[in-house]
Amino acid sequence: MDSQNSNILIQISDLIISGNYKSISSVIEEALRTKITANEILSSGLLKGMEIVGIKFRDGLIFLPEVLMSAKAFKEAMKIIEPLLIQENSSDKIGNGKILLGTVKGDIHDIGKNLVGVMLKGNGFSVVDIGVDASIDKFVEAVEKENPDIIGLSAMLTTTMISMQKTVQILKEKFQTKLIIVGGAPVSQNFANKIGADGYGKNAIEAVELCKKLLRIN
Amino acid sequence: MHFLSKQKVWVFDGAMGTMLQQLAEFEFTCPDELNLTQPDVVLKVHQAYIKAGSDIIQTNTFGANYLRLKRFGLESKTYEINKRAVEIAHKASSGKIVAASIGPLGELIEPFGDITKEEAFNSYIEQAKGLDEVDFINVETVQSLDEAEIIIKALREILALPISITVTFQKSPRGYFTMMGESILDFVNRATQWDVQAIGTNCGEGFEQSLEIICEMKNLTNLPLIAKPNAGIPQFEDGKIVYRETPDFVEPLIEKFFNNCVKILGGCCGTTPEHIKAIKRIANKINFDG
Repeated sequence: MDSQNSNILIQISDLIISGNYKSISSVIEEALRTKITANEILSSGLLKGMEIVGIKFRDGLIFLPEVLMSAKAFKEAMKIIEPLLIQENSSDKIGNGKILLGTVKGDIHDIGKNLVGVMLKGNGFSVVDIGVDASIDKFVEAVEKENPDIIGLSAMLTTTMISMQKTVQILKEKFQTKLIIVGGAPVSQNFANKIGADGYGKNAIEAVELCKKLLRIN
Repeated sequence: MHFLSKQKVWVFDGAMGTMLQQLAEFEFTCPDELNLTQPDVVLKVHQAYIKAGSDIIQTNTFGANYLRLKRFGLESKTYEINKRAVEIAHKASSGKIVAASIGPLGELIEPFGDITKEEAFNSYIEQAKGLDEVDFINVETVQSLDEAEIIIKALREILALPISITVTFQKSPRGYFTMMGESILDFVNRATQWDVQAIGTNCGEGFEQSLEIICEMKNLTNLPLIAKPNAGIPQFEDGKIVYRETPDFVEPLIEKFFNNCVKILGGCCGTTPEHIKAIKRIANKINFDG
């Protein structure tokens, strides 16, 4: 890659890191004009930027507001390159795998779950989100319809942890081989082990690392 | 909060949500709705805390703001749910201090989420209408100082009551911060501008972390401090949720809270009347033996 190309990709990654959702579209267009492929923009620009956002978040250098602004910039960029990615890859399956996310029954919180969704997308996963207060039936139906690689359950309230346990139990009975991960404020590794989940992420970054590990990516 | 000018320490109550779940006669998804559907259960929780030694009890209104109730289809009952909660608390209180609990929206406000500042403000106006007959308002589990500011504005718009604010901090590699990245110092500075009567911390990972936060906070402010820690992080054992920080575990820490400027100590998720009894024993020792 020539240095002009690498400069513009660094610029794209920087716009992601700074969450500059207003300027990113024009820079993406410029990159496409200089014949950089959508694949390169994604992997060497957008995903590179999101990776750094993830590290900064993990290390406590930035917080939810900054991550959400980066996610917004990522979304703007994807609007332009998503159709091109499908052309370039001659397949509708982009990226690392499909993750189904939902907040368990009785719990209406979704700030954490949405952040996990954003970071997963930012790391090349496709995400199906079934929302909050999702009953066991809703999870089962969605798993049958979407056939995800991993199911992610979220709970924010200490009082809905039992609901999470029941959901994991039924999903494991119905779909023995499906991987299930859990997260949320009251959830811990210990809890995840005890209810038979396949993994736990303390935050959105750990959730991404966990999905990569479970699907043997990298 | 004139009572705070007295040279003594005060005992708050413990968890509401986890207690309701144990005592409720039938399953529920919205704890605040119980003020209408199972008022006796809410009353029982208050009575248990008063019996254990709480000087201050808190209404079952943590999630009873308009927007949060709307997620359960209960928004038309916002006033009623709050009003009834205050009545139940007074019925149990027999002259003790009654605080109104106000929790966050649970959704993000613009520009990070879809809720406008005006919608958030109005949501708390609707809640505040039902809370006029308490001794003070305790805005708790604050995770965004901007949101707290909106809540305070709404409260002051229609109520002339003292306000306390307690924030939930998470430990990061660089110290304690809110979900939105605000430090303990940021909180103290904003709280000074808001002119509230007391500040502090609640929820979180347990009594030890709460004490760390308090020790940092006391060096930054002269305001009376409130702590309402969780009984640790919930664990799952034998098909049940259990909290590791038992009253015995917590007991040796209690005095340290009071020695570090905490005027009001209680508990959040997972704490029980047994925790409150332990706090009361130490508080009595301090208040009566000097």
